[in-house]
Order: sequence, then structure tokens, then C-alpha cells
Amino acid sequence: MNWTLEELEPEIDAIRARINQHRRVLNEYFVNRQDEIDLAVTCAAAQEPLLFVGLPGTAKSDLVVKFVESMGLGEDDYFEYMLTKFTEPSEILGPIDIDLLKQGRFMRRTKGKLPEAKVAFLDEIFKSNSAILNTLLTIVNERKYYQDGEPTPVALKMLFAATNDIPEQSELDALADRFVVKVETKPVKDTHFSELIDAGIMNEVYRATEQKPWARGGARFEDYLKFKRYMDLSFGARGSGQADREAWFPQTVFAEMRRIVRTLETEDKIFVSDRKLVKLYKVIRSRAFLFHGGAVQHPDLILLAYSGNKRHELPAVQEKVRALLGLGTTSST
Amino acid sequence: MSHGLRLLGDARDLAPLRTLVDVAPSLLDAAWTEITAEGRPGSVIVSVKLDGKTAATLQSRGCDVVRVRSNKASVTVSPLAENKESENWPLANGRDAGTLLEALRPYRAHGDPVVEEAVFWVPVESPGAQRTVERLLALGRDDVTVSEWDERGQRVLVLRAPNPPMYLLMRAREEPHEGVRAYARVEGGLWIEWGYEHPLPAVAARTLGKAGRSAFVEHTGRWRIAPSPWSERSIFDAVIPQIDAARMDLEKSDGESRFTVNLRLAYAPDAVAELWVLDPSQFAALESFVEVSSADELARFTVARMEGPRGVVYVLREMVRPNASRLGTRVSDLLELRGYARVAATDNLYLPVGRRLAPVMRRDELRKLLGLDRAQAVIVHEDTDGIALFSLVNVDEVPLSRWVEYVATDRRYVLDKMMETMVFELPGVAIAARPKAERERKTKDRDADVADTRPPTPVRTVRKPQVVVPEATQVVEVSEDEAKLREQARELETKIAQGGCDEAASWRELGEIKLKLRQGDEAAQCLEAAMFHGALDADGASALAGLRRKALNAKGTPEELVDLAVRRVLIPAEASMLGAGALDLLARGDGTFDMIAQQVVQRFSEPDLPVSRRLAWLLLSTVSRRANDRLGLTRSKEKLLGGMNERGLHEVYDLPGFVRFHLALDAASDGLGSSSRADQIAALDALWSKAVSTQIKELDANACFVRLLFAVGFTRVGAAGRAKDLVAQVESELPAFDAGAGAVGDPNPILFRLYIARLAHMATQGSAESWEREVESIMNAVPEARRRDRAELFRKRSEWLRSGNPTEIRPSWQHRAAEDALKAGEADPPTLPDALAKVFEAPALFDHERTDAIERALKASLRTGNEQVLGAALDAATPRLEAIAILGHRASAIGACLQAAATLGDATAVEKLLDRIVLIASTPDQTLSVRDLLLAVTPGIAALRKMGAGDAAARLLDALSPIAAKSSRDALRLRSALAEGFLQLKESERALDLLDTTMDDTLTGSLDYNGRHDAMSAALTAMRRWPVSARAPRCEKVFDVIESFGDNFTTRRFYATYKLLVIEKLIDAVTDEVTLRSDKIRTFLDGEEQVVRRKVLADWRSL
Repeated sequence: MNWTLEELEPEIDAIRARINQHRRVLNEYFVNRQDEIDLAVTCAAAQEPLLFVGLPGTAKSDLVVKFVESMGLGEDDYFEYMLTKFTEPSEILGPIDIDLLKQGRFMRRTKGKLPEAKVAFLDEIFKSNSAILNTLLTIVNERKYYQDGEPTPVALKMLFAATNDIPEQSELDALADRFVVKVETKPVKDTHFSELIDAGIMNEVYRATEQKPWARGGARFEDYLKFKRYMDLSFGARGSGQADREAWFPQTVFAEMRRIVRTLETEDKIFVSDRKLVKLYKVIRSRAFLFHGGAVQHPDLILLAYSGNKRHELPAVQEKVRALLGLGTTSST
Repeated sequence: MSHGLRLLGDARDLAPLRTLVDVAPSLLDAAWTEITAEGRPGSVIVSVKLDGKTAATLQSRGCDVVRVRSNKASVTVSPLAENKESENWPLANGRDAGTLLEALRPYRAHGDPVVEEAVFWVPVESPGAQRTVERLLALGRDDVTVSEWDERGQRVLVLRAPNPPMYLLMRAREEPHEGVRAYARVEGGLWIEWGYEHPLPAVAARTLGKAGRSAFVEHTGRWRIAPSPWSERSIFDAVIPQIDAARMDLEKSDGESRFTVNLRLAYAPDAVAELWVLDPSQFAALESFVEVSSADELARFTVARMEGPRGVVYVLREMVRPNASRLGTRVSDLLELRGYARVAATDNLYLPVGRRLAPVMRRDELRKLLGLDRAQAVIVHEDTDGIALFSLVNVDEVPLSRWVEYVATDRRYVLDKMMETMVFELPGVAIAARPKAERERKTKDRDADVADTRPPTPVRTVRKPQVVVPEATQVVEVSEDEAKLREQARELETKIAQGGCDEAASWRELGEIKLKLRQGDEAAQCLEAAMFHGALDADGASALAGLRRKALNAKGTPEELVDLAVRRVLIPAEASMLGAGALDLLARGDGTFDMIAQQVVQRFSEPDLPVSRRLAWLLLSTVSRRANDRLGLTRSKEKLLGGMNERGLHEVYDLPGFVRFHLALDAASDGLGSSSRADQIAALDALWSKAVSTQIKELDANACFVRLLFAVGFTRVGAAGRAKDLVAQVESELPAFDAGAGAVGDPNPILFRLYIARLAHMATQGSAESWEREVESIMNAVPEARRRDRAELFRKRSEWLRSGNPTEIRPSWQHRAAEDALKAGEADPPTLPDALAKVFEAPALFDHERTDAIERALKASLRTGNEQVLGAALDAATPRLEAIAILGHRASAIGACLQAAATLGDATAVEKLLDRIVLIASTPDQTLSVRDLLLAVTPGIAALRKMGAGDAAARLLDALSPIAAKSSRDALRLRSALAEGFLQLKESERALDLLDTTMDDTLTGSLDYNGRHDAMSAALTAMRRWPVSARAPRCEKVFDVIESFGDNFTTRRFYATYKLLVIEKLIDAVTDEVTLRSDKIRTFLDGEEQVVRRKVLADWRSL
């Protein structure tokens, strides 16, 4: 996993091409979900968590499942769970090892649970209790959990979560802020009635015949790891963050990003924490490199449209950012 | 050389500049020059008007005053302060300004300030103008105004925006190449480039205000002066909207296309029917309704006789009156027809109840389509063939009351009355032989009648209020053969009416005689019983089917049977015809039966099918035997016995008519004296005469209540005429009661209507469901909730007005696992013994849970109808009674066991259980109340009635006697129960003494209102077991002190609750519905039930 820049340099374009192919292939099996797929791929490439916000039945879990299946991951590499207020940490982290407990060690048996999964999907994430929330905060932010009081790294690389709503309670703000990108999934039946039925029926057929055509010829999980490694190395390749920015983030685009963030803060009261701003920069930069292999362009700033925090902010922010970027209201990332 | 001030270009300049304005205000209007140089921070402002003295003053006030000397190459700046050195500024630039304010350069403000108002200043020709306008519109900023100015020949667009978008402000500052400048308003007419501040804004604003000008100050210090205010227009005036879309202009067309849309009937909420289309037989079935309806009610119906392609039909219509309860429910229930309801917003369109026309149409088109204007009424009828329209043109509607004088007389109700009238009122009949020739002619006529299959023409007879009985002896012609047959029938009837007759030969012989006597219904019942006790034979089945067909005027074709088999609701005659027809097919081995076999088996397994249990079992057992289906027979047996356990035999379907008459006629057969209808009428009359003198004093509510209560009583004993008179008096008073009832919340008119409806319901023998619907209809007609509540308070206490099943209150269990085990047993009754064992194994179970377990287990096994299951459950429950420590709970469980044992007919078990009660009663336990004891005693006494009393019963009664000697409410109730028990032991005198003392103690004791009512109710209920001769004087005695039954409810200003309830009980005690519910009939049905049970089990075992 410790590839060097020199090792990655010759194949990075091929990796980019495979990931973009992955993006396009996935889109064939959904109706009007290009934005969500692009965001999922971008966040997976940047290894930043993505939160889907929307009503039940808006293809949230289906998208994640197909995404995971198409990367050729094994069952143990993927962890999916629906959280409730009664969910216990042992359901997420694994049960306590009784034998070791008798020896005075508080260890969990993590096989098949979140700590050992490479990709995870947590449904109804904000319905979990405080014990789970604290555990998730550490995992999402620091990629570690505690075994017998000792911090232990998790294998998690990609985290997707879903919720019907983002609660207003302040104790959930911390977790919500960890999700730099939040995308609202809306029903598409009103605008794509027949396409939805056609695609839905075909999905049923695939399921009944145990076919997974979305797994053909796309990127593998390793491609995403290599891409992330390449980006991490390239951020520091020029010696400083400023040098990277001057090389890959043109001044005009950077000023535009600053203007939009400031506008969102002053006019729409969107809180953008320092951590979030840095992560946004990183995701925008990753997106730009992934999508067109070069410096950030104006359209890459569309990621700012998904930086809202509260449920009611999401559509307003999206609308505002699109207007500021001079894009129409029809979704096109 | 000039003096000047050195400025730093930030907020530190504010103090020296304000000092300058303070010290030398005249310098504000002087000409100033700003000098800047590359590589030097800040600037210097100089003025020739700043003299040395002023400069010294400023220096002494802390300002950085300098002397400026300029030559061609550079500027020398020398501070006045002594310790500072002169500076040489090469490449210096000078900017001349007319005033001090214009000479000052704005300095950079911190951050990105949010401002209240700004203008965007952009040359019209620059790309920034278009983009700025587009962005403002994209952000929804329709509050922006626009003006255009000329600046040195260049047109400039000035966009003024309150709360300007931060994005555009920042973009204007950071992207100067776009040519957009943003100025934020500071104060008055002063606008400074956004992101900068002027050192002397207030002074500048004041100066501009005086001059009536606005100034736009660049960060370079350049001023643009403009008039203030300036003319503005909306941003939309600066926009030429365009759309990239193909354009199509549509023009109005004169065409009026119409599309054919089929109307259909769709589901709609149920409504009360108000119109019925009846065939002649259905019209004749209205008789029982007419019999019991008051004149006022009849006046609300009209009838029209119509002829059409489907023959003669009668259109019955209810004239709906506001605030009057609807009678449609009662009519629909009686006729078993849904009827039609009028469509809202139309006068004469009727749709089937629960249907509506879809889709909704414009009213005028609907009228045109259905021809509503051409007909008096249009009925949309729906059947399996689809929709049919009946247009009623030239309808000659007459009130139903006109038809009342011409009703059919071939109905059982009238026959009953005539027969009883003959028995009780005719002085005597002499029978004379007819001439032989005439006999032969009559016989021929009769044969011809039988051969004639045409529908019978309704016989019209003048109905008279009272049958006038001539005093003289009349001569009635009856043939000798017929008289002989009647004699034979009488003997057989006597034998059968004793109950428990299982001789097929007797039933068959009686059936054949009845057939000859043209008593079709009774003949059919006898044939059913004969085949039930004997064997199915083709002749009997054929005769039975013929009789049942004749009753319905049907042909008995397979299609008819199929139609009946799949019909949702069957009336008794239809169910009987279906059963008899199926039996006939089976007896003949006709393969047609297979077409309806599934439906017939399913229908006849239903415990509430209105058909005799004998016929049901005969059919079910024959079907199972034919298919050798043991499992099917077992299921049928369990369903049939389960139904009997729950409801017993039915007084109408399982009781042949002749038994009823025989029992009524055969007075004193039990040695207890007469309880004939005549005696009851006399007793009721006696009570009524007391009521007239004490209760009917004036036209008040109490008088109405008493009239209605007695009307119900008179109806029960067949004196419907008197009942109608009483009701008519109340009905005439009803409008007076209705007037103002709403204002004072008077519930009495509602209760009067309920009693009137009860009377009608009883006479038509309606089902419990129809009574419930009728009550609901009356209650719903009352808009005021307060009145309804008051009426409900009484209705729920009255046994006559109550509707629906009482809610069973079950204790909540603390031990969930034990209750789950019990529930599993209830779901699978054969496992109930194991379930009970599991329940009782649970540790720390409460006694109320144990009791509940036993009661529920026995109830569930009773429902199965399987005697083995019931026996096993009883065997499992009985030994566990001891585990219930609290005696009250144990008594309740014993009561449940007694009911089960009595159902099984297990005399030994009953005796043992009675002894358990004795044991409880003799236990010196202070916690056992009499009320608890009653829980066991009441079912015990019921078991005695069914199985006869033995030694154990005597022991029980003796043990309970000391407890019952007390004078509490429950002790008095127990005493009444004991009196009934002693009556079963044939100790009539002791029983009567006990009853008398109970009543005396109730009336003279110190019980409260509740207790007095409860104790007297129990005594009057027990008194129904005595003959009328014993009942009548005691009831009169109670009636004499009826006023002592008061109450303390808040509603007593409207009605006296307990007084009226006791009168109900008195009338119950006097008129025990001899034709329907007398003890003798109950005894007959109990006997028959045992016989039927034995026969069912025997048939089952034989397969």
C-alpha cells in the first residue's frame, strides 16, 4: 500500500480512466442519479465520507451496494447496518471476547464488523445512540477505535451513510460536520416515470438471475486506493501547500471558491468549519484531477453545492451555488 | 515650501485628521494636494492655506506635521518634530483636490464587511455589465434598481442593491478587469468603494448633504459626484428577456368534441335505504313490519303497484322527515333487501344503497341522460346482468296504511293468534259431518290446488282491531278423517312435546299426518327430525324438498340451488330449501350435488345459519359418509357442537310450531299451576290498573315511560292491540316533548323512540345486529351530544334497550411467558391440558392469573364442540382449583368448571364441584364475600336446572342458607338464587318463603338505592320460575311501593332510572314470553339438545 509517486505516475492515467469508466457504467443502472454517483465516486476516491439524505426508496442503499459489488469486494470487506437508538456498540464493533474478558482484557471480536470492513454503509446514522455516535466520530475522523483501551486502526476506507433527516440536536452536529459532502436524494418518478420502471424491472431481473452486469470492466478497489495515495503524495510533491495550490488551483478559481464560501456564510448562514474547508479543498482538488486530470476548473466548484449542514439548507445551498457559478437549476455536476 | 500632514493610509489617520478639522475647519474647503511615492508607505497632504502657526498648533496636538519642498526631481519631506530626519521622495506623484475630503484616500477595511446598500458601477459596454445583471437576476434580486449615467462620453450602468450579494461585492473588488466597481453606502450621499473606509465619513456626508449631491469614492481617492437622489428604474427594465424555444401560436377552435363515457356504479358509503322495489312475495313479507308499526310510522311509507316487463312490482318508499329516526334499516333488515337511497341534489334518482354513479356528471346532463324530468322516479338497479334503469312514470303512490286493511292471512303470526283466540275465547265448537258429495268436491279442489304451480294470489282479509267472538256456539264443518287425523296428531305431539324424543317412527308418522293436514312447515320439521333420528331415505327427502320449495314458491331446479348456495345472506326459508334440496340430490344420487357440495358443506357448518341443527347435521353427516371423509365429519361435528355449546338450540328453527302450541295449551302439566297467556294478561292488567291510578296522573314523561313499558309487556303476551293504543298515546305526545328538548337537553324523546323501536323489533323477531343498527340510527339522529349522553346513561342500564355484547374484562397478566403458553393452548384447544399444566408450573403466579387461565381454557374448549377436548380441559382444571388460595377467585373458577361439567352432562363432576362450593362456604375466611360466592352459585343453580338436583345440591343449599340469612345486598341476591335452588329440589314452600323474605327484606331493609334495585332485580328474576299465580300478587306488592326505588343520578330530573328499571323487571316477571321463552320450551330444547348431541356423537363414532 505504500506506493511511491514514481511507481504510481506511469499508471495514474489508466487508473483515472478506469474510475471514470466505473462512474459511467454505474450510471447505466440508475435513473437520473448521475450527481449521486459522481459524488460517491469522488468521495470514495478522496476517502471522505458521504451522507445521503432523502426519503426511503430513493436508491440510497442500492447505489452503495452496486458500487461495492462493482469493485469486486468480498463479503467481509463490506459492512452494512441500520442503526436505531437501541443499537449497541457490539453490533457495530463486534461482541466482547468473553474468554479474553475472563483474563481481564476488554477485546472485541471484530470479524465481519465495521473495524475490519473496507467499505461501510450505515443507514439511519443519526438515529443511533450516543455510545455509537462517539465510536463513529473516532472512526470517521481518526480511522481508529479502541481495543482494551488501546487505539487500533480500522480498515475502513470508504464510508457511506444515509438518513431521512438531519436532526437539529447540537450533539449530532459533530458527526454531521464529519460528512463534508451531503447529497439530497430525491424521487425521480415524477420526471422519469417510464425510465424508472424499465430500469427497476431490469434490476429485478438481474437480482432474480443473480447477474451483476455493473461489475464489468470498472475500477477495482485497489484503483481507488492508488488514486488516493497518488493524490496524497502529489499534495506535498511541491514542498508546500501553497505551491500545490498555485499549480493546481488557479487564482481565479480559488478566488471564486473563496467568494462562494463567504457568500454561503454571510448570506445563508452556512457554517463552514476550518476542518470542513480544508476537506472541501481536498475533495475539489481530487475531483478535478479525477475528472479531467488537471487543475481545478470552475465546474469543479459544484462540490460546494453539497456543503450544507442542515436538512433545509441542502436544497437552498445547491440552488445558490448553481446560480453563483452561472449553472442552470437542472442537475448536472 | 508648504506645510502638510503625513498620513499612514489606515485607521491611525483618523485622530490627526479630526484634530485638523477641529483646529482649522476653514481648511476643509481649501485646495489640497496628496503626494505619494513608490516604495514609501502612506502619503502626505499639503495645502498652501496651512500656515506655520496652524502647523505648529497641530504639531503640538500630536499630528505628524511636515514641511514639503519640491523640485523637479523629487520631493523633500521634513517633519516638524525635532528628532526626525527629512526624507527625500524621488518619483513622487501629486494629486490635486479641491477640498480636504477629496484629498483623503480611503483606507482598506478589515475583512469582507456586510453592508446594507451598495451600487455596482459598470460601463454598459463592458462584459461585466451583462454578467452582473444576469447574476443578480439568477439570485432572485428583483429589488435592484437601475440607472444609466454618462461619464465623459461613456455610458455607465449603476445598479443599486439593498443587501447586496456578497459574491458580487467580492467579485467587483477582486476582478477589476471586469470593469465593475462596487460602492457601499456609508452615510447620506457618501458611497465608498466596498472594502474601504473614508477617514472623515460624517464630515463628507454632511458636506454632500448640504450640496444635494452624492459622491462615489474610489479606493484611489477619486471622487465621482452625482446628483442626489438620482432617477432609477426596475432591473427588469434593463433586460430584454428571450427564450430559445420554437414558438407555436394556438388559436381558438369552434369544434366541440364529445366523448362517450360509460357510467357505472361505484362503491360509496352506506346510507339508509328509502325506497324498495318488491315482488309480491316480498311485499307480503312486510306484514310483520306493518303489524308492529304505529300509525305515524306507517304514514311515512307509500306504496305504488307497478307493472313492467318483469311483472308486477311494488314500490315502497319512505317519506324522510327531518328529525325523525329513519325506518329504512328495519325494513331492509326484515326484507333482506338493500333497497335504494336517493341521490343527494336530485329529487327523484335512486341508487342501490352503498353505490354511487361514477364518474361525476353535470347535473343537467345527468337529468337528460336518465330522463329524470320525464319520470316521477328513476331507479338504477344493479344485478349480475349489469345496470338496469327503472323509470317510474305515472306512479300512483298511496300511503302504506291504505294497504294495511288488506294483508295476507297465511302467516304464522296471525294463525297463532287465531288459534289461541279459539282456544281461550271461543265458548265451544260442535263438529258436524259434511255431505259425502261435498267432501269429494273439496278433495278434488285440494288436489287441483296442489297441482297448480302458479304463484299464490294474496288472500285479502279485512283486518279488525279485535276479533269479535260471537256468544253463541258455532257450527264448523270439519271432515271426520281430518278430525281423526288431528286426534292422532295430538297424541303424537303430546309425546314429542315432552322433549327428548329420538324415535324416528314417531316423528315420521307425525310428519305424514301433518302433510295430510296441509301443515307444510311443521310436516317438514317432523320429516327432518325423522330422517335425523332414523336414516336418510329418498321418499322422505323428496317430500321434504317439495315442502320447502313450496314455501318459497320455487321449482327446485339445480340453478336455484346453486344460486342459494352462493348467496351471501340466506333467510330461514331459503336455508331450509337449500338443505332439503341438497338432501334430495344426495338421496337420489344425483351428480348435480357435486356442483354445490363445497358451498353447502361450508354454509351448513356455520353455527349461525338460520336452519335447524337437525337438518344441518343430517346434511353434513350424509355428505361426509358419502365421501367416507372422517376428518370432515369430525370437523362438522365440532362446529355443530361448538355452536350448540355457545347458543344451544334455536327457539325458532329447532322448536316445531306444534310444540309451542302444545305447551301453551297443556296447562298444569308440571304440577305448578297455570302460566298460560290468559293468566299473564290478567296479571299484567292488574299491574296496569295500578299504574293508571298511581303513575298516569298527567301527561308527563313518567306517564309516557310507563305506557311504553306496559306496551312492550302487552305485545309479549299477544295483546298487540292494547300495546298499539298505549304507543299511539305516547306518539301523539312526542312532538310536544320534541319541542324544546334540545334547549334543555331532554333525553326522554330519544328513550321513547328507543322503546317504540324495541317493541317493533321484538315483534318482528329481528336479529341482535339489526337491533344494534336500529339503536345506532336513532341515537345518530340526535344532534346534541349532551342529550345523547343522557339517553345513553339509561340505555346502558336497561336490559331491554341495551345493544351489543357486553365487553369482557380480562385481568392483565404479569407473567408473560405463562400467558403465552395459555394463548398457544387457546389457539390449539387439544393442547389445553398441557398449556394449563405449564401455566400452573410458573412460579409466583397470581391467583387471578390462575383463575383466568382456567376460565379461558374451559371457554376455548367449549367453543370447539369437541366433548373429548372439553372433558380433558375439565379434568386438567378441576384438580388445580386447590392451587387458587384466594377463595373468591376459586369460586369464580369453580363456576366455570360447573358450566363445563353441565355441558358435558357429567353429573358426578357437577356434584363434586357443588361440594367444593360447600367447602368454600363453610371455610371461616373473612376475605370471602358473598359476591364472590355468587360467582360459583349462579352457574351451579343453572346446572341444577339442566341436570336436576341431587344430594350435593341439598348440601350446597343448606350450607349457603346461613350466609344468605344476612340482609346485605349480595346476601339478598344469594337468597334469591337459593330460592331457585330449593325450587329445583321440589321444596316449593321453602323456596317461596325464601323468596318472600328476600322481597320483604329488600323493601324494608336499609339498603341504598343501588342495593335495593340489585336485590329486587335478582328476586324478580328468580320469581320467573314460579307460576303466574304466585308471581302476580308479589309483583303487585312491589308495584305498590315502586316509588321507593329512587336514584341519585344527575339525570333524575328527566327520568327515574331505578323505578323504570324495576318496572321493566316486573313486566319481565309477569310476562315471561310464554310462546318463546318459557321454561317449558327451554326444557324441551334442553332435552332435544341432549338427544341431538347423543345422535351426533353416535353418527360420528359409527364412521
